[in-house]
Amino acid sequence: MDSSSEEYAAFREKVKRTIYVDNMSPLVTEVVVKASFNQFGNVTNVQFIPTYLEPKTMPRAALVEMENSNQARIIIAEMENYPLMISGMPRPVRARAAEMEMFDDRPRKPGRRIQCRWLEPKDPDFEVAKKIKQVVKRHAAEASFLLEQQLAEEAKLGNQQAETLKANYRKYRLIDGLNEDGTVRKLAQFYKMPVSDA
Amino acid sequence: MSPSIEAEGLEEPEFKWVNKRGHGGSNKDVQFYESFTYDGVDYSLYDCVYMYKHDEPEQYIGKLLEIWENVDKSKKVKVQWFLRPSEISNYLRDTEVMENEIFLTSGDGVGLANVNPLEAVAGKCNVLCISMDSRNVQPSAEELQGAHYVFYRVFDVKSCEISNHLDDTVGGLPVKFVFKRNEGDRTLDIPTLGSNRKDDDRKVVACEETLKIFGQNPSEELKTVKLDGNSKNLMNRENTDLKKVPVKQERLVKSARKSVDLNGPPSKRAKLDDSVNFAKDKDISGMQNSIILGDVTEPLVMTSGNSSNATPTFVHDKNSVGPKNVVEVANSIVLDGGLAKTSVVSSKEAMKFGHATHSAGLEKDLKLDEDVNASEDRPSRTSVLRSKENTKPGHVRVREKNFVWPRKRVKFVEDSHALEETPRKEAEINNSIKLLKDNNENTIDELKDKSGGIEMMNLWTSINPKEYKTKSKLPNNSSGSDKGPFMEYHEETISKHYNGNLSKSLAVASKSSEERPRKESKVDGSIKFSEDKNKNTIEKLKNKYVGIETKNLQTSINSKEDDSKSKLANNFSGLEKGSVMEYHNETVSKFSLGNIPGSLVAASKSSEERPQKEAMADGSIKISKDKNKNTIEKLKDKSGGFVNSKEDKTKSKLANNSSRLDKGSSLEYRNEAIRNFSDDNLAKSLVAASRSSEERPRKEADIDDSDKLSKDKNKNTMQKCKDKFGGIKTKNVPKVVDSKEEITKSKLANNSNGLDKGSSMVHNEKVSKLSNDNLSRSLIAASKSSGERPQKEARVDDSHELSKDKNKNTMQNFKDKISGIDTKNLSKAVDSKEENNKSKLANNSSGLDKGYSREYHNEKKSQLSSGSLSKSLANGSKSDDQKIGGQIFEVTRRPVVDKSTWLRVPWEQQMQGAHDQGTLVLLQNLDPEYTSREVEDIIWHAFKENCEAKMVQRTAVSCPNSGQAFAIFKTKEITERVVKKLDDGCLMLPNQRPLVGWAGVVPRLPGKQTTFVGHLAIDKDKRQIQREMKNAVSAAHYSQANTLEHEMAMEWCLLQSISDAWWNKLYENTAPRAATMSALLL
Repeated sequence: MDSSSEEYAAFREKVKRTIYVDNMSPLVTEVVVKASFNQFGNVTNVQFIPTYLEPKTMPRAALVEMENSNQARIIIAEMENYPLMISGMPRPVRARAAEMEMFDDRPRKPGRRIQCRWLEPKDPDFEVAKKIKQVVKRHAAEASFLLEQQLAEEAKLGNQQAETLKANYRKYRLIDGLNEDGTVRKLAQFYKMPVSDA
Repeated sequence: MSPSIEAEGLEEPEFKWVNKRGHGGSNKDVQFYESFTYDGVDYSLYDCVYMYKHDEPEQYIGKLLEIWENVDKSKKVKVQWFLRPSEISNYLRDTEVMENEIFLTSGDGVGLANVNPLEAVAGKCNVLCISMDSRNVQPSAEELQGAHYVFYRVFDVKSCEISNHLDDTVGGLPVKFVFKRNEGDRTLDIPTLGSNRKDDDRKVVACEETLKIFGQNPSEELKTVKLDGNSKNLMNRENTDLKKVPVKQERLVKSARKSVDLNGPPSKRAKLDDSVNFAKDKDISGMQNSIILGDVTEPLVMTSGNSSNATPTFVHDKNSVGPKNVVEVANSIVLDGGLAKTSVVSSKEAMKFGHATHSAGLEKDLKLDEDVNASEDRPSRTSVLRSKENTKPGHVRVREKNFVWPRKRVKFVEDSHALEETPRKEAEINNSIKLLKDNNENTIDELKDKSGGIEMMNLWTSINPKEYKTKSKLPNNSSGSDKGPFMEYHEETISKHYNGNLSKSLAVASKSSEERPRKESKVDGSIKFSEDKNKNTIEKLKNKYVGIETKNLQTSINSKEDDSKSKLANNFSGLEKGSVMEYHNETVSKFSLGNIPGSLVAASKSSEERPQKEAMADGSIKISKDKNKNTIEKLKDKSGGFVNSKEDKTKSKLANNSSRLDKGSSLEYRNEAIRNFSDDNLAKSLVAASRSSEERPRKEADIDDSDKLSKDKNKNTMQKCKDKFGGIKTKNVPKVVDSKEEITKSKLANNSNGLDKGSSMVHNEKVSKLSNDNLSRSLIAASKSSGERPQKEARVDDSHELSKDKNKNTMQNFKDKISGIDTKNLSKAVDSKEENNKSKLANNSSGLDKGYSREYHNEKKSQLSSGSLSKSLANGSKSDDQKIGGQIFEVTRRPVVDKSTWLRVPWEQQMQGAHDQGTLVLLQNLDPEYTSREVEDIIWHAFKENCEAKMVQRTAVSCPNSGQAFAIFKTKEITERVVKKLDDGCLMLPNQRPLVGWAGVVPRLPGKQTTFVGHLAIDKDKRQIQREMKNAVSAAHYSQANTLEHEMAMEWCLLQSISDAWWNKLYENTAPRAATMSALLL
């Protein structure tokens, strides 16, 4: 009993010094995460959270355990203010304080008692419980719908930004090209405008 | 050294030079000084000063290194800077910084020191060096308090690092000027330069270079400085030592208070010292506290240093013959029911006293932690009391024989090996009860509480001196008040508050053949009256207890006869009939009655031994007032009392606990409030068999009856409510017929809670809920040896809750009359030499749900097979699906399954396989806190099927109040059955969660993905990006403003927060929906 509560306490400490990071590219590996956050402190452990229920396009999330809780706190605060890019731009990763339920290997809460019972069909609660079950399913459906919507929004934004970037790129390419092939200089001569070498 | 005084009647505020130092070397016109007066303040070299900072409210802080006057009469000072944490926040990272800590610059480079006009000096700053360096004079508490700033670390301006190591020079400044100086030293320090012309010459040169002066000082000067420094060090050291001693002691005291281990061997002390040092490092501000506390606690600590035996002030008497121990019990000491239990089983316990008062008059708060290491082989009993206090206590650890009776009112009566005596202990509740300071003092002033009397009688009959296994006895009388000033509990002064009698008796068998059984009973009656913060309520509150009597009668008749009929414990704690509680107020009150009787009977081990019996009765009455004003007008409580009696007949009746409110007792509530009435009866009895063939069974009964009447906050809901409880009867009659079983552990819980017929409840317009939980558990563990008998555990937990709803309009007139709620739990464990034990466990739960009442009569037959190490749960019967229903089962750890962890397939692979075979189920609506193992346990207990489960880890988008888990079953058939059963039936998890199961979920396994939405790249650059990927640091960066990247990143941040808002909204909507649904339940 003692050991379990000790374990639990240790786990709570661990939670405190862990950062939950999401919006990460699937290309990001543990090494990358570690190196990224080692800039701001000492990473002791990185653990990705598997998402079995979400669509494949779901960004990855990970638990980054820092050396101490203070580091974690500071990093989270900083990342709130400045968008941090890991392995790609411009979508920033996002950090939050980790929660116990995010951990796969969490220990039992000491002293928790679970009492269950089967409801009898004639029990008036039975119908209510049935309804609750429906509600639960509905909630799950709602959540997954919202997730879909969110991902769609993200995709939309991503495409939009890709377009913007492409347009920008083309623009600069054009300007570059004009510079390179001497068009600019010729035009400047034509219009008698001084042009400094770009 | 010519102390010349030059008047400088110049501009500005008053200024004059005080002490000259000498002239500059190359430029003879430069005059150095070592002190001056400016604006009425004396400054001298190495003083710390504030320096004006342009347009900034916060001034710089610096140390005067040089003071001089140029030919043009401009006065200059050279200042070495202190840095505030805010100035170097970039380099602090996670360094802990004290509130008023600053850092001295060190090293070599820009930022170390500057030459400034003297007029920039804004004032003196008291900067205290608190470095632990031995050269430093340790500051006293007063000095600490008076200091504007403290420092002990330096900031290297070159390397930008913080260090607490001080070299001989700090940025060129000899370290002795860095440390705190004794007043006497000043005159010694400063003038050295004045007499030395050569030095002065160099000085001037150095001075003109402004920076780096000291670094370039000639070795000559360094030497003198060093010499000087050494002698100074010696001097300082002495001083330091002198000063350190008290400080250390104080520290020690402080740390000792945190963990006082009275049993502590010398090594402990050393440890304490360590911690003292540590504390010095870190906790400076706390020092004052410790100093203050020091005096008081010192004696305590001293005793701790002594050997374990010596605790003169404490009540610890091995051979105490009828000791009369008066101990004060803390405010509200709540005895953990479960704790008492565990104390028996596992003898390690922690004891915490929030407010404990040392009899010696120590008046600090301590928490007593008692680690009871004494297992059965220790002669001394250990007692565990866990008290919860409303206030924040400190910690004191007590080990075994060491009892610290610290601090505020703790009554701790300890009984040791009483030889054939019948010591009587009276616990008197002393006057010194501190009511926590209330916000409303006036209210309390006007409070009148009269208690006719409190009598607590503990009669101990213990026959048998030489027991070895006594574990703990604690009669605790705790009387406390929640809020309010001091209260007096002298016989007729009872106040609001908490009156607790705790009695527990543990009897452990004797080892010798001749030994007698020992019986102890503890009665704990606790009455809590807690008043509210409302003034009006308290003003009007009058509590009169005509009498509270707590009697513990223990009569143990036991001689050498085997069949001994003994009445073990008669615990009589009650409010006697005469007792009237009147609440002339309009507050809401909670009335809770709790009886915790427990009896432990441990069998004797030898043939001649007698059984021991223990009875624990805890009656606690809590009357607490709520915040509502108008709710209760009168509460009259005439309750005869609680009668807890236990009869032990070794072969027949073990424990009878009856606690009741006599018929005459009536509770009248005229209030407009909603009330909750909860009645919890916990009864447990443990019967542990003796180990040898001749041994007697051991029995434990733990009964906890607690009735709570709690009122709600609604004012207008109820016009009048009159509740009369004719009586509450609780009878616990466990019968254990046990003859010569060898190991029998059974918890038998019998609870009968009756609201007698006369009792009518709930005349209100409210919806009331009565929830009844019956928990029964029977554990049967097979004996290990051939002769052994199975063990039985039965636990019945009855809880009745009457809770009213907050809905107003739901029911107009709701009258519930419960003519009677009878809950009788009879458990009989009849065990002879048969292998199969039949235990009847009757669990009655009666509930009121909108007039609906239910009774669950569960009769369980559990079959015990000896030799098998299986736990049989009552509802885990082998019945088929149809048979289930109604029963509550406790989920414990499932039996060990064949889990060859080394051969385990990765989960994803398993899951994929399971999905292919159709054995994958998604469970929903779990408590998100559950672990995967717990889910497996639940499934095991609900379906008797093993599975592999895995909780779905929460992410940012997971529902915060509903958890999901995957479960993999063995075969498709099982899976289908489980899902069907979950679908058709309703498995209720705690917190009104019906479990939902889904088959056919398609798990999305992580696959290869090369693109990621939102990460853009121009085709041409892709390669380059991949190269960058390898260098992760360059790939991870904060985006800079004014770039396209940053702009886009902001768009993402926006989207992220928008979607966060969506999720919040979603879960905001779903949560109340689920809540209203589950509110419809019971």
